[in-house]
Amino acid sequence: MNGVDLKLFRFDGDLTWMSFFMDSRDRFYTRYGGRGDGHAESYLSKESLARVMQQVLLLHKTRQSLPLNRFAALSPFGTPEAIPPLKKMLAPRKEKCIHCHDVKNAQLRHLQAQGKFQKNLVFSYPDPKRVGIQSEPGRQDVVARVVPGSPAARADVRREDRILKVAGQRVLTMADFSQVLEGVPARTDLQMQLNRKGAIIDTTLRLSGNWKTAGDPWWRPSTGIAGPNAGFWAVELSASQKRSAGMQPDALGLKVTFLFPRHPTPRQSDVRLGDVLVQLDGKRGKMNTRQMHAYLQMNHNYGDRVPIKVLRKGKEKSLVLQLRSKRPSLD
Amino acid sequence: MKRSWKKARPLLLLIALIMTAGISIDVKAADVPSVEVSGKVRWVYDYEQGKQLARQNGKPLFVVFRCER
Repeated sequence: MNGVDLKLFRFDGDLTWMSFFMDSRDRFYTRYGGRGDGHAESYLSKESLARVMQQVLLLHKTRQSLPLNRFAALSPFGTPEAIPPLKKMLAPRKEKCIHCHDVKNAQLRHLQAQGKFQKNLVFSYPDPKRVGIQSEPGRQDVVARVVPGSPAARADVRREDRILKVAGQRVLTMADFSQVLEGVPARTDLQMQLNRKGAIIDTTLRLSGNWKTAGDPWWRPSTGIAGPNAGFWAVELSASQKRSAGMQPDALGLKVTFLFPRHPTPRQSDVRLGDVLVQLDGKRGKMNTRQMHAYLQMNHNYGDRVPIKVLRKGKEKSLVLQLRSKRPSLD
Repeated sequence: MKRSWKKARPLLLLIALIMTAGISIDVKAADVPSVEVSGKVRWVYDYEQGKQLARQNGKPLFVVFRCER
C-alpha cells in the first residue's frame, strides 16, 4: 500500500484481496472482493469475476462510470505514510512494505492515541449477510437466499431477485453492497431497487440493532488493536484426539504449542507447552487459535484476569489467564 | 506509488486493462514494470501508468490489491 491514494481507494484493510474496476479519470464501475466470516475467498470466483468483467465492459462502452460514492468511508489521510503511528509500526521490520492491514491498524492506533477508539470499529465493511442477503456465487447481484427474520426478509426481498441499486448506488457485487453498508448508520432505512422477473421493485430495508457488529471477527488482523491476546499459539485437537480424551467433537480443545517470546501472560498464568485449553472464560465451544485470541481481544481489556481450564497430564486444571497489564508501546 | 513495485512483493497494486490481448503498449518498457501472467495479462505496477495505458487504448482498468502471504 506504499503511496496509495487512500482517499480514492477505500476498502476494508482486513482483507487479503480487493479490486476496483475504473476508468482513466478515477471513476468507478464496480468493486470486486470482500469476504465473509467463513473464508477469505467468500466472494471470489472465476465465474463471478468473468461476469463482472463482462458487465464492466458494457458499462465502459456506454460511459457509465461513477464518481467515488458518498458511502465510501472517508480517510483523513492522503496516503498510508501520513498516518502518524505507521512509521513506528514499520521501524522494526526489514521489509518496509505497507500491508492493507497495516493501514487499518495504523488508523485505529491513531484513534487510540486520540482517545477515540472503540472496539466496534474493528467491524468495518459489513457483509450483506448481516442484513439477510446471500448472493449467488457466480452472480453476486442475484439473491440466492434471504435469511428468515432478517431486514431483507421483512422487506420482502426474494430469492432470484436481481439487486439493481441500494441507497441509489449501483450494485453489481457484494463489495458494492458492503460499501454502502459501511457508510450508513446502524439505524437507518435503506432503499433497494430490485429486478424481479423483469419488473422493477422498490423496497426498504429497515435497519436497527447490532447488525454492524454481529459475526465473528476472528479473521480480522485489526482485533489485535482492540485488546490483549493470550500470549501463546495452539493447535486444535483432531476428532480422534478429542475422542481419546473423552471430549465431544464440538468441544474446545487447543493444545499449546508455542509460548510467545517475552510475553508475560503464559508465564504469569502457569500456561505450559502441551496443556490443552478446554474452557475459556466459561466457554467450552470449539474454536481455533485465532478465534481464541480474537475473543480475548474483543471481550477483554489489558489487565483483565480470565478463568480458563486446561488438561494437563490427563487431569483438568483451573488457571487464571492474566492478560498483559498494558498495551505494548510502539517505541 | 513512486517506489519500485518490483520490490513490493507482500502487497501489490496490480493494474490490468480488461481485454488487453492485442493492444500495443507505446510507453517505454523500462517505465512500466510489468509481469507476464499466462501470456495474456500484462500487469502494471503503477497506477498513473495504468491510467495512461487506459487512455491510450480506450479500455477500463482492473485495479487489484492483494496480499502475497
